[in-house]
Amino acid sequence: MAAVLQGAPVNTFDLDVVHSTEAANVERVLAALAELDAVYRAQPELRLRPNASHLNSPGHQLLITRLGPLDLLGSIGNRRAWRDLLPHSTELKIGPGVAVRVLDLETQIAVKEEVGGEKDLAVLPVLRRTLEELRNRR
Amino acid sequence: MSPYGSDGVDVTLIRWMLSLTPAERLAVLQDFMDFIEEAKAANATQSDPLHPADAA
Repeated sequence: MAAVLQGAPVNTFDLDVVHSTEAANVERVLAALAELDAVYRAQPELRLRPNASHLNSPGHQLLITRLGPLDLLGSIGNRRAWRDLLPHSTELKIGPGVAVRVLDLETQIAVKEEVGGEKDLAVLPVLRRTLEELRNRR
Repeated sequence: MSPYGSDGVDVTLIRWMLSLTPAERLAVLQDFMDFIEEAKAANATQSDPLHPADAA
């Protein structure tokens, strides 16, 4: 989603969020997850819900909500957590009074190179070319 | 002149996306998702074969 918002023509079916593990934020996220009826999507029939200790871990919580798939990521790439990523993020306005903080393209590319999975590698040429076009416009 | 770079990426598509605002890019993605959902729903109720030859 962050790539799309910054102009990369790619498709995505889920929303990846790297969250702050500060206690107050974890509480806010859990409240939002309850409102979204989020459960683990590996076995949705079990209706297993993430708790604070799950959100405090560097692991990935792969959830399904009433609005679609949602991945809550304690860290990405080489154990980069919210605090590490914050300086590499930017805020984009997506509607009246609505702004979202997204990871910049440079860092998205670096993280995908670190992960090196097939799905990550497949999208790299589009991200690199989009970044090149953006730099040419600056 | 080919719209594709040496890596096979369609640069014209990137330039078009970059001409939009973030909100407009999100709308493009949403429209695509809506289309996929509509196509899935249509296929689920489709009783005629998509290719007549398949019916044989």
